[in-house]
Amino acid sequence: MHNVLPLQTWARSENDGAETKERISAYASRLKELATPTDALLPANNDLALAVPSTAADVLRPASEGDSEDDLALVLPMTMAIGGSSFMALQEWEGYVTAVGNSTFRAELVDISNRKRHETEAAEFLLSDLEEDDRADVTEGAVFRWVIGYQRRGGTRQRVSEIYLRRLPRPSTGEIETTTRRADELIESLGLR
Amino acid sequence: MTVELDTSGCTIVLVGQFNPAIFHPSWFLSHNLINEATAAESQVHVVHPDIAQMELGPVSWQAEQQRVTISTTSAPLIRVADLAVSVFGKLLTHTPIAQVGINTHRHYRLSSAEVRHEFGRRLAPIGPWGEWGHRLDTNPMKDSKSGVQIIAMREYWADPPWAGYIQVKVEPSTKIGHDSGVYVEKNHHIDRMAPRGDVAAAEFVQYTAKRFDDVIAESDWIEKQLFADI
Repeated sequence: MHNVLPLQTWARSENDGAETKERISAYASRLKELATPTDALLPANNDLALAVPSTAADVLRPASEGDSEDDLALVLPMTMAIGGSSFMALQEWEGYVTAVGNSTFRAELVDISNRKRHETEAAEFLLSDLEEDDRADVTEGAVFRWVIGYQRRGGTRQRVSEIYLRRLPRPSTGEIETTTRRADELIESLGLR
Repeated sequence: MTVELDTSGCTIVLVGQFNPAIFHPSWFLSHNLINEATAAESQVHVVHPDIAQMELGPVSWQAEQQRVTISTTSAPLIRVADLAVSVFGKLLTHTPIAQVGINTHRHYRLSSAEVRHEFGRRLAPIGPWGEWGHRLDTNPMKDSKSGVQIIAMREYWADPPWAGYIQVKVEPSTKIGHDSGVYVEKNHHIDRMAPRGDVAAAEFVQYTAKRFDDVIAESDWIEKQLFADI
């Protein structure tokens, strides 16, 4: 398991932007409460939401025209390998990949913890934060879960984050053809074609 | 914090007719259900016609002839549903399955033994127990407070053609010391309405996967209220 946080997140609307900022601020506060080795990964002011670790700075997406103030850079603590078997979610998203670059990929996110049914955020992640075996499976449309939570190891716990690539059965060619045919029939029956 | 979640896990139990001997990390790898790193690090406890038991990364897999149990204590818990869907929704689709359970099991740490004792009294008041109930409170043993050991509530549900029940069990945690832990187990039992009996696995696990996130969220909802007054 790796500790993963996105390079950047983008809220899908102004309201969601405020919510996202608030949540990130809450994570930072929770983190401060913990006297765990995770603290060592934070910059001196422990300001998770605004800090830029130098190791990741060169791969951050540069700000581009059109980015609003809500385009909040959520910057990651350094990647670290973790072991153990107990990992409890504080926050969980389902994501699907929308674009894959040389070293990063972008995704739309659905907030599972708050029982959202649609995408409310987008984010960009480092491919190197995934297990090497999983990187080849990161293609457009791939579905994953991104979890921030507490990793318990012995008597201590750390706040970490992980991307889990869902290995769901892919539909067969026959299933795709059947579904496409049914969709076409439905469109016809509704007089939309 | 008065109540702190210490450990959380999830188990999917499928009851039906299975062939344990086919399950091995190499079988999961050959069908791309786990990656090579997970296969290499997997631990096989036993593979036998009667039982197969192994650790596939953060997931424990146990197959018996009448039962398959898939469990994890590592988020995201959806990983157990994914494995169930991949194995029985795509590969072994005609395996007969009669019942499925989605179970959450969590240990909570309360601030003290006294707080847990009061929590137990609220869940199971001693008044209806009469004179013996009164004796529970006046028992002179100082280090062992008498009280509730297990309490369970059940709600039946139906979502035709599916039906079942939700059962929540609360008991003292054996994992957390200082008599301050509470263990909460929730069983979301899924059955098939009439005609009952074995159903092809694909149908059963697709429904299980569809409901999974809501079932987990429901555990959060119930337990949040259970501890609301502490």
